[in-house]
Amino acid sequence: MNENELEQSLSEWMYDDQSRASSWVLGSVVAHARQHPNRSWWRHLLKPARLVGATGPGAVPRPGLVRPAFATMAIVAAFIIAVVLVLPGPTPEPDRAPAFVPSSPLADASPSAPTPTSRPDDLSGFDPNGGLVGSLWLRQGNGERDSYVTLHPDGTIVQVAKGPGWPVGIGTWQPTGARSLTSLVAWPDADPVNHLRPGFSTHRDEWALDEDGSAATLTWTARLQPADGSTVPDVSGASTLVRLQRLPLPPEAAYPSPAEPGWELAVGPMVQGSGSGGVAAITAPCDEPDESGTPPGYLVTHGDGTAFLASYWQGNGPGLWVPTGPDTRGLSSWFGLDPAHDLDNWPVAQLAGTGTITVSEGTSEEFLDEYEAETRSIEPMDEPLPAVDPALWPATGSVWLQPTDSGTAITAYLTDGTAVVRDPRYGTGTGHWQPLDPDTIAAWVAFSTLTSHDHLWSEATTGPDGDTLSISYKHQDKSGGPVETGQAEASRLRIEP
Amino acid sequence: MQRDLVIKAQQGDAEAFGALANGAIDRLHGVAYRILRDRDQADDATQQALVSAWDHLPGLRDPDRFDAWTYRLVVRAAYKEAHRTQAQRDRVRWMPPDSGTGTDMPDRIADHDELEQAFKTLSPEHRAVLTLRYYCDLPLGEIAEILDIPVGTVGSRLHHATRHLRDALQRERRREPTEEHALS
Repeated sequence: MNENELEQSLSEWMYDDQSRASSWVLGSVVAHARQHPNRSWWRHLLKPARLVGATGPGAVPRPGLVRPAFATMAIVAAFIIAVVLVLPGPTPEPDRAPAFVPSSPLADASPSAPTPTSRPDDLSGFDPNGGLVGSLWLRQGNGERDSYVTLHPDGTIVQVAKGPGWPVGIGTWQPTGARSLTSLVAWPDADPVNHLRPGFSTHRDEWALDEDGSAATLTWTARLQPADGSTVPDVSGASTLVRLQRLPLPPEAAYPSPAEPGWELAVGPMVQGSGSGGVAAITAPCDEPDESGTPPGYLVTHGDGTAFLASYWQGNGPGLWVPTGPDTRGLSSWFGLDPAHDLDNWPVAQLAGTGTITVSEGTSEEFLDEYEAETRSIEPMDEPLPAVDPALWPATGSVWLQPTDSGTAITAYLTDGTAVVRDPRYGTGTGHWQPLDPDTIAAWVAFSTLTSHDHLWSEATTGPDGDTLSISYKHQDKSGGPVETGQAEASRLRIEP
Repeated sequence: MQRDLVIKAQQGDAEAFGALANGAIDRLHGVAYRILRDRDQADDATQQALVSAWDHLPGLRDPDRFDAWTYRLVVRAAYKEAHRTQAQRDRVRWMPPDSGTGTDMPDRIADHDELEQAFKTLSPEHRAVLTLRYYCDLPLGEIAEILDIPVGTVGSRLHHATRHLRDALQRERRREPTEEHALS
């Protein structure tokens, strides 16, 4: 059977192989559209009461439901993950940093004690006890535009928004007072639902935290930058935020917090002697016979006690982690990003292991499931990497914006040896980076959406002003596609006065 | 006509949404079924997609993109459904192949049976790209938009899916004579 014959047979078979939806499907959907005109009813999906079992005008119970109703809607909960071997050894003390990241060692990865620096996005006003850094839940409107924000102590920020496309914003922040800060976040997915309007948007946010740092108010101004150069009026508004708290992990007393002695050992260099962060690819349990397997999730644990999880199935979510033993970490993570399975306030606790992890899915109220999953590292696409010279190793973060030919943009932040990249074409990537020489870094990233098998390798050299990057990259679909290479220019995302 | 319904539904008109859903449901179920190969799961995925459609319809900026947008939602729902059942795969009841129209020649029925068996060995991602290409007859660019992947990846995925399908068919055909021989 040649190619054409196979395609013809496939097409005929698909057309002949008819199927129709059961009658309850349309009835239940229409009934709920009637019952929930404000479109907030999807929150009920989080509850064991299954949609198809709902009552009301037009609701049609589904006959012969085999699986537990709860499982169909609710098992989507946030992953639990964890990572990985914590390699011993002291955190290198940088005395010379590549020009692309101004020399400003972060003496203590603890979010409670970042070092004031002279970096361009000046953190000198930062109050180490002000509780600015960490992860917060941004409430907006009726909840459909909620997002999660993580402020890293090195001045980088990542924001994960809810909704189709699972967009991720990456940016920079700086304090404006003991309990206030300003941030600039770039969103490469200017239109995550439709992808109709190439371009990207930036949000300039002014934050004011309350006395204990548990909540904040934010005023924002969004500027859409369409690729066609047209002008779109700015949009502004206000939101409130509440601080996310880690789900208790047993035995609670055994874990040092980021501000306590012992934390530094626990967050010591994890990967190739680099910074205090680490990345592990989390492969979901999979017995799919296809060689491509299930798209994995990727977990980044930052040295400041925050985490970032990019998962095709659950979307992107922030998290908080703690050491739970010499080679284990526990993680609470949040996902509120799936349009069909909103998981607001569904923190998940999980215990880490080495090579495999025990995943405990659940919420603060309900345990859902536990299973073993494998972890694997993200490899640098066969590129040889020199040992990291500690003298070159910077600990501060930087944020970059790279316009693309299609008019969109790629955003990336680099912090403590880890990298998070948002590329509208490939999704959200996580990976590592390290200095090669005073002016050059290497970064290798894997993407977690359907193209999760896509890997990206890049070398970036800073310009003389430290605000531009010349990037050479190569990209490959690990299923066997060709290696694409290219050149690009990126600029540092900077908050203008 | 559909555009008007979409606009009304975006404004909260449940009846307009019902008309849209009625027009789309078999199309969406067809996609979900071909990815999942299970009618119950396809029902769930279709419901999930339409639920998402209602929930997020106000965010759809171009009403003319409703069809492509719902394809995207149902593919995503099918992936989730496939993933959810992986852990309990032994409980999944695969549907036997349909008997066709009743006028097929015996050798064609055999081909369909082979395709059914071979298709099951593909990943949901490969099933999706084949379904969108050969069932929905969509161009690669539109498939890329629906799946949120580059066009090049669509091509690569189609290539590998077809290759895997052919390999599976060959394995199936190598296996059949052996079984017949054993029976004889």
